[in-house]
Amino acid sequence: MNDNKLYDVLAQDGSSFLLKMKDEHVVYQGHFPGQPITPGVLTMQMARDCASVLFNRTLHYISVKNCRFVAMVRPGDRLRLNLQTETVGESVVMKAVLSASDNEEDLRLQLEAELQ
Amino acid sequence: MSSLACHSTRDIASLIPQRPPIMMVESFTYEDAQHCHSELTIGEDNIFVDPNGRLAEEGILEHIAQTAAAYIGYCRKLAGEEVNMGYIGDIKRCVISAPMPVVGDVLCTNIQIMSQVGNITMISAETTVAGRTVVTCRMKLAN
Repeated sequence: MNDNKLYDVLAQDGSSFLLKMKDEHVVYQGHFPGQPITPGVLTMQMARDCASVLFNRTLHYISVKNCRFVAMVRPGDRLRLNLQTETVGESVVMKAVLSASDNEEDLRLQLEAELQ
Repeated sequence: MSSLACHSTRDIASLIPQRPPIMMVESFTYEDAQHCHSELTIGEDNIFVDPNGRLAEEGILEHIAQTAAAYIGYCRKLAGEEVNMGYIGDIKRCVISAPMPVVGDVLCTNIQIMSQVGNITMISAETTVAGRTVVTCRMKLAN
């Protein structure tokens, strides 16, 4: 994103990240006017960004086996992102689960993907 | 509008609810009830472009989702309904082939509609840049 970040990392405990969506971001001007909702693909990008932090290099998706957008993410939301990663050859196989920070049953995103 | 004719438009704002800075379709063609096509020239001000001028893979997925949204919007207009907000339900069987496109490249996307039941649309998509396949995937959309 060529703009200020969409979210802040409030805390990191190993591969578990506590995130807070910023209250305002330019993307919400268009998604959607008067009704701000975080684009689902940007929650995928959050998972990729956090995986990149874990591996200390910029990772990119090379395949996505399954990515379920379970419920909406909105500005101001506090979220928990749990990553499970495994290195296979040059790839990182990742499972990501994004939920509300105070209720891990309040799922927002479930993702299985391979990155390089 | 005729329900059968192939129809092309650059008036994307009439078909999808997204607005700048996250409009990721520039032209849209409804080919028939099962097929549509779109294009986007990657601008340097595109919100998914990094400082090196490279488009993030998530930008291509958003472009595919908005192409499907334009198809849904077109069908709704044919039926005399308003264009409404839509969401990606899931992405599956997605393969992304580096290198990613850069500023000035043109994304060309072909979508096949697999099914449309109520407000759920299943699609299969392929995005190419200069003839090279960059992304293939399936998506479920709700509107």
